[in-house]
Amino acid sequence: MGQITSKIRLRDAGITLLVLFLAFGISQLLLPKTGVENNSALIFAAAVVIISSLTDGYLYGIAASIIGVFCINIYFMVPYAEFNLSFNGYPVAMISMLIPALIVCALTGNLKKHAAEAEEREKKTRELFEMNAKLEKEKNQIEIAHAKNAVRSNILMAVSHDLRTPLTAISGSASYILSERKTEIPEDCAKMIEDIKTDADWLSVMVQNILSVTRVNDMQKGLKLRPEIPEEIIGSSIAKISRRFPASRISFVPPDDIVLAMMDPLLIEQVLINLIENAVRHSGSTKPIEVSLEYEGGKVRFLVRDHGKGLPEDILNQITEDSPVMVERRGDSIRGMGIGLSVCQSILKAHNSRLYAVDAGEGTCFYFSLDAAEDNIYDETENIDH
Amino acid sequence: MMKQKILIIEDDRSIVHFMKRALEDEQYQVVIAESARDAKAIFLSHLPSLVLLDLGLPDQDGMLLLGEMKMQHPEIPVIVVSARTWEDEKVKALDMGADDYVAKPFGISELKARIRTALRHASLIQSGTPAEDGIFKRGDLVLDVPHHRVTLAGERIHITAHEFQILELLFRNQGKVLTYSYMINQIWGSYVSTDNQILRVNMANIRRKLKEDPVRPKYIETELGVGYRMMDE
Repeated sequence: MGQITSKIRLRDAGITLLVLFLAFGISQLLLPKTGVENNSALIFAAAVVIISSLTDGYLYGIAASIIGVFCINIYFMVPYAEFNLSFNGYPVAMISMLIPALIVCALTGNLKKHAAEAEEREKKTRELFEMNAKLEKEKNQIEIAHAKNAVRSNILMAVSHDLRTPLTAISGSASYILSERKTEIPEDCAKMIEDIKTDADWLSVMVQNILSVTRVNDMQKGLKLRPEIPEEIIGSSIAKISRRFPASRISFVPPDDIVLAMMDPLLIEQVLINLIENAVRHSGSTKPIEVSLEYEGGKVRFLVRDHGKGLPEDILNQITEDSPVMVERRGDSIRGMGIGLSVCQSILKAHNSRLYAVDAGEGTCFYFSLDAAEDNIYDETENIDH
Repeated sequence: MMKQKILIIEDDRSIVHFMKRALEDEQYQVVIAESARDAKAIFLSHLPSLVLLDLGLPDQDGMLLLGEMKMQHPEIPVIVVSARTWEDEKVKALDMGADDYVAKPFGISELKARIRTALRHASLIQSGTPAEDGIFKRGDLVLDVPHHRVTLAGERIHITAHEFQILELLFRNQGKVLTYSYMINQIWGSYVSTDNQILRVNMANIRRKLKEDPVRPKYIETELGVGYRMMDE
């Protein structure tokens, strides 16, 4: 900024000197032709006007008019090349040079100010226009991205729904044979039909997982969380797992206190189903899986603990660091584990929460916390007394 | 005894196939409609004992068909069978008069149990009020309405007036899912906001008093996000 003003000052000084020099030269040329009644005063006046209009502020115009007056006095008045104070009316000449200089400076100063303002306005308008165009472009891109997301989400949802119908037929037909006609078929075939049913049911859970994720993604303004009784959610998820894995052992003792937690109940049920199912299928232990609840400082914590062989280290690290669990294929024995855990992570994220996993020495303990509902305690003591 | 007739409204043939076989094994007579148009005609001409309705039909939204059937013959129970998952869909179907809701995929024994419950419920309503003496029983639990008394395995348990009303409401609709909003309206009246926290806390208290195991309840089942059901069989 300072550099720029000193540059402008240097330029203005140059202009002043140059124009004065030109005026001096022209006057010098004209002097022999016009004699005493020369026009040097007019030429210098013109120079002062030009300088005032080309430079910034009053300084250079005033300086030029003073120098001009001296120049005229010294070089272009009798006696030449001599400063003559005795000359009559000298102060008048001085003032008559100064006044136009000041007026021109004031006028051009104004003009310059207006011009500068106009230029500034134009610049701002241009900037606004450019910004507007940029915003418009970004808006379009966002809209396209949203539209793309919506399309993807819709396709995913439609496909998942459509998968359900054949899965219902496969699982339902298998369950019909197993429950009504088992005695009519050889034992090994019955075993195969059992496998068909198990796998169809597993696929249904995966479809439900995909639908859960599309639901989380669809709710752009965030999920509508409602106060729910945690033990109802836990009870329901354990009941569903027990139906699919009748041999599994899962323990849950509800706490004495009643605390409601804010959640989307079906999504949190899905989280618990995934965690419990992982424990049932992959922990490799027959000891009971323990599900429990803890209340602490306005939070409700859900815990799922198994006594199995522990998580693969990379998955444990990903959960600990809250980075997405990779869903790449890891061999059929732990099929779906990554998908289940990453669905848990995205559902919990939508609840402003996250999944934790700790190595519990023997087995793994998964947990997550949800906000407790406000006004949690209802005290209804009025009993029927007869 | 005349066979009870079940109308299956479903456009997927594989599903129709196994449902038909399973229901015929149970000595029901089965009629099939693969579109809403067929369903309306068969419904009015056969007047089935029960309808199994798939909400995703090729020619009409199953929800509209449900409304029409319930308008014409509210006494015929309708069980909705649907691939749609979320609870708002279930609540809507139940509020429109569906007697039950089975989500796809379902097991055959679950479906048969629901059908038996719905049929029993319908016949009880037709033959007069259930439990005319006002004494309801399920397992060890007895609700004595005239004496305002609840006993569990013969032992009196103390419950609040609201808890009593909730139990009575569930017993009077045994086997049927009651939505949160329906129960709140019946017990607290419509002035209570949509917030169903008060119902939920009451229910949690009832369950503690009945010593319910949340995983294997003996009396009251939870339909997550939808409501509660007094178990039947």
